[in-house]
Amino acid sequence: MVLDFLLPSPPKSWSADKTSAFHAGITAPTKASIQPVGRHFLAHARRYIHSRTFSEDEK
Amino acid sequence: METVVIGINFGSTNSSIAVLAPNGHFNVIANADGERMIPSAVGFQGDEEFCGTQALQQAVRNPKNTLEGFRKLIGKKFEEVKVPSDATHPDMVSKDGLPAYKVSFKDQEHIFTVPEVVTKQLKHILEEAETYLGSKVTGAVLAVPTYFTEHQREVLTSSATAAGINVLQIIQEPVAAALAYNFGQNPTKGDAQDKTALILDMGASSFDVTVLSVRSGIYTILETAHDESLGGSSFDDELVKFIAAEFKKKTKLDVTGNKKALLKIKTSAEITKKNLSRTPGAPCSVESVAEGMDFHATINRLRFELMSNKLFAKCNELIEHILEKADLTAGAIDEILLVGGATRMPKFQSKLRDIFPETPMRLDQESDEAIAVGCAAQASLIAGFEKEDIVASTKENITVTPHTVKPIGVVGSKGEFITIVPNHTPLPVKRVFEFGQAEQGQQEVYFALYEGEQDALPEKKEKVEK
Ligand SMILES: Nc1ncnc2c1ncn2[C@@H]1O[C@H](COP(=O)(O)OP(=O)(O)OP(=O)(O)O)[C@@H](O)[C@H]1O
Ligand SMILES: [Mg+2]
Repeated sequence: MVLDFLLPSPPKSWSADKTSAFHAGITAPTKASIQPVGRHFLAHARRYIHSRTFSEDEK
Repeated sequence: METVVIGINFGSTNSSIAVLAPNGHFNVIANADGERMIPSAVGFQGDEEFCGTQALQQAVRNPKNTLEGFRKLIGKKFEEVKVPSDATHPDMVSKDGLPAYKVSFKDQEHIFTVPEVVTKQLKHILEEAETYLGSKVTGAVLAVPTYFTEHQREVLTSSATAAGINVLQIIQEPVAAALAYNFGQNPTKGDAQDKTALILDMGASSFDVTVLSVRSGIYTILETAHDESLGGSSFDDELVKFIAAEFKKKTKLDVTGNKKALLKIKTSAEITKKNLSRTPGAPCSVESVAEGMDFHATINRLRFELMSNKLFAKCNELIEHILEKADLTAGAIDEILLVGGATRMPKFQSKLRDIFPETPMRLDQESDEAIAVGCAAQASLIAGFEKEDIVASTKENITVTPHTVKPIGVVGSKGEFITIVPNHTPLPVKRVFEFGQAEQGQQEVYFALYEGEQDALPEKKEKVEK
């Protein structure tokens, strides 16, 4: 995905020595079933079974 | 042993089988007569037992010994099923609490339970596949409607096993159709293929509507609805009423209470209805409707569409209802996938334009073959896996996952929200995106991630990462 815009400049309150700041959490996710079909689901199942992250999985 | 896997669509009216061909396409298997649809019907006559086309061919002559519509009864108790018992339907009895058919066969009365009949049909399907392929089938994926319960799936699995089928997996019909259409299955770094489809499946006995989202190739069903009064068969009934009235005008014979005559008319009406999808006018002939009198006429499409107006309108109402339930506007639907033989009716398709003026409508699969093709695609994907691994991967601990409720994204210089991770995305998720540099040699960037497209963006909701 290529985002075709310039990022806004940081607000005054921003200090560069912090790597990130959380102002609010995301809305609690809802539980739902994903369908156990297709290549991408199989990759998901493999990551789950081997408790791997995406980056570990790519290796 | 070489693995040969197939996809089976065991519909309540028609079944079909698909396989992966050497050219990488999925083929729907045709029988010796070139037919790709196998009627889901079992019949008995004299000393013979028939399945599929042969069973259907003798249905009008021998309705008491022709079994149809049994898929609907899978996993049900006798008291739960309401089946008509008259001159045109086989008798049903309870056997160990299960619905069972009483038929006469080999000069005797025989009782076959629903699971036994299902086994007969599936065995026939397996034989057709093996004849076509010239080899043993080592595994199959089957599809069931979204409203099938866990118990119904189990009963189907054991009936299939009894038929000699190694069931690799049972998947949901609309999901199989989405696979057949390759819906959102090729995400790339630049395009995660986050889309939402409306899957419309009109078979003979019901209209099933599903809203399905795909996020990085993974499917989630957002909403389902179905209406058994809106199958292709209801459209046949409109034609039957019309033909009976015309017949009465011409012959003064009233056949409204004559079940056998109505069954004959219905068989011809269905053929006329199918032809009307291709041509603006189609003949309808019924031999010896009653008292030796025939019926012959040409019915035009417009006439048919007028008599079915209410049904078409109800289809759209069901679609509007599901959008409302899913809290989606028509514009949120990226594609419409058509499944089931009856979605070929031109009026059905043109009516959809009232709700979705421009949404792409996918017709590239033969609508009544999509489910078998999707099952075959899944079967070939998992063909090499151990059965236990397939079972393990479909357990809840893996399939039930948290999903985002609101989209997460960044805000552009004009204050516009740009979605990075949309709502309904299964977690964990990884998204890769690129953005332009503001200055040459820039070393650091600042960006704020926001949640929720609709909300104004309060300062507090900011989450900053470097
Ligand atoms: N060309 C056509 N035009 C109109 N209707 C058609 C056409 N071809 C098939 N049909 C109708 O489609 C229906 C059968 O569709 P399909 O094979 O998808 O059903 P099924 O999946 O077995 O049934 P169900 O989904 O109700 O369980 C029948 O009512 C048939 O008359
Ligand atoms: Mg169907």
